[in-house]
Amino acid sequence: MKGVVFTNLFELVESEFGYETLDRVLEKCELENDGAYTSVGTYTCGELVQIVSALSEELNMPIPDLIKFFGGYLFGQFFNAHADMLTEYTTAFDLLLAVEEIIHVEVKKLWAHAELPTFEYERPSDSELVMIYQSTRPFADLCEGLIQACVEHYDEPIEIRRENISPDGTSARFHLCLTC
Amino acid sequence: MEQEVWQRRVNRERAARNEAEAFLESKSRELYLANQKLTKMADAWRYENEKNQAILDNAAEGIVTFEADGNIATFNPAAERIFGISIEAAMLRNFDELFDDIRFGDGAEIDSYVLDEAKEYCATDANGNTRVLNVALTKAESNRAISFVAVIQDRTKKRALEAQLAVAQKMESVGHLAAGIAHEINTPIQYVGDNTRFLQEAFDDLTGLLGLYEKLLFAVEQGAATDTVINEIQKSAEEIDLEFLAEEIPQATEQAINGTGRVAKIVRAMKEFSHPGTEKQVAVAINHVLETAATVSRNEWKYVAEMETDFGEDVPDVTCYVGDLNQAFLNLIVNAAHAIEKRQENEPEHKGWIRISTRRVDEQVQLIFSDNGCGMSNDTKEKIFQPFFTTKPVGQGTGQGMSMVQRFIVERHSGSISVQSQEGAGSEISILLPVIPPR
Repeated sequence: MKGVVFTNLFELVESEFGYETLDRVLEKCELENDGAYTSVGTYTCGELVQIVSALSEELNMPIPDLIKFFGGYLFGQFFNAHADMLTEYTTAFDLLLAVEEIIHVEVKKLWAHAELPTFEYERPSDSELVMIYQSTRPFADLCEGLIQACVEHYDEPIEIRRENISPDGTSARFHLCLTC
Repeated sequence: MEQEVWQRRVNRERAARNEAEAFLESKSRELYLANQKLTKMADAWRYENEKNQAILDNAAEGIVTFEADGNIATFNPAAERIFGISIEAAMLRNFDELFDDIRFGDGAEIDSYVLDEAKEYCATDANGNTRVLNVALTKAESNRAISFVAVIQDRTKKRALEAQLAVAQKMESVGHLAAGIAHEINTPIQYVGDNTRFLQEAFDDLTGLLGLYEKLLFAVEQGAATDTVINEIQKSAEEIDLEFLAEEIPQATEQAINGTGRVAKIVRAMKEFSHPGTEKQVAVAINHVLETAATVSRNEWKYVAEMETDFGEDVPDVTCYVGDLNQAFLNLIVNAAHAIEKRQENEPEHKGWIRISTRRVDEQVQLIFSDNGCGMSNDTKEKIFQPFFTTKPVGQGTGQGMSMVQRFIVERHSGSISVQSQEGAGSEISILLPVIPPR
């Protein structure tokens, strides 16, 4: 798991709940690196799960809600960081359709060994988009948060319906329907 | 408490910074090593490129590469020399435009020119000279693109030398056949001469007799006595054997006409055979070409074998280099005669025969030359098309005959030859010639 996910999570917690909250969570987790993460590093997925679990407990917020919330924040961060590249996409569908073939390719240029999820696309009609998420990690909730934030970013009347393919969150089907 | 929190935060930030710096150092090193590797690869690539370029530049053969649309991409100096155009001019052209007899059409036909073996094509160079080029075209497919590589050998000089050699060999054959031809002509000429002399003497006799008849006519007109003249006429008619002359003169005339016809046929055959031929293929009656070869070689086989022909009536004209086929057929007939002669050395009573048959097989003509000569061993059979291989004694064979047959039939006419032979029993050479030579 790339360190940028950890540092963004910490920024979110700090800005929304204060550094003391983050400090308590990190202390509670008793991490091997004492919670020192850099965005360019690579860490185990288990560490993130451990931190998210502790955070959920600390904030008394269900883990799926917390991850979705984080997904929304992450979208904003990514969009702002790479606005020059992403402004060419004028609709949510345009951007989401570019994830697998363009955005992930760009990510791989920076992080050759990054383990990215894969997406398959279906277009039942012009107003519908189906994204099938598959990953070795259980972050379908994070994906949902990102998709939701994308739709909100473009302010489009899109209804998102999620259907879990596997119960552990490693694969899910997102049905997006433009409602008008 | 707050101070402790801040201290931990500082510690975490410091540790993160250290990790990031270590990461940066590691990446810098990786970058340096990657750069080194790339530099080495670039050097190796440059070296290979220079080496390949040197090979291309110094290759004796023209090497031309072109893309799937026919556009020329590489044109080495040898190609420049062959076609007489610069690489810059070549790059503006399609590969097929370099040749007189290669046309790609819309590009779909390129694959049809990719063959297992090289093939000869003609090209007109920048000076307007026709060049004979041996082209080996291969297709190079990669993930990125399809391209074609043509290796081109200029065979113009070789072909000219071969043509000269063929003429020399033909003239050698003509020289070799000359004695036989002279003999062939001598026989009819002799009886033409005998008959003409007979006719001359008969004419003299008849002129004397006619004089007596004129004398009789004069006496009758003058009312003079005719008994003496009539006695003279009867005596003269007896002396010149008028009855015999009336019977023999038409026969002598017919024999003389036949004799001159026979001579004319031999001379015509020899003329056709020794004609240098044309550089272009023409449609000819293949049965007639065989008759010509049999006629000019008659003195080679007539003492050892009977010639039997079975020419198919439906055999179409074959588009060919007629001079080549004349020579090839002559070689096969002479070889058959020599094989029979060799067998007769051990079996003097053996009656030899040479059979030539033709028939149409779809769009090809099959010609079979068979004989009941000495045949060939398997070892000989395997080598007969090798240049300079011969089983004949020095002076009789140069080892060029069958090699020439193969070149003329297979290379020049895209035909095929199969050989069947049994040692001590005879041989059969079967030739298939396309009616219209392939492109």
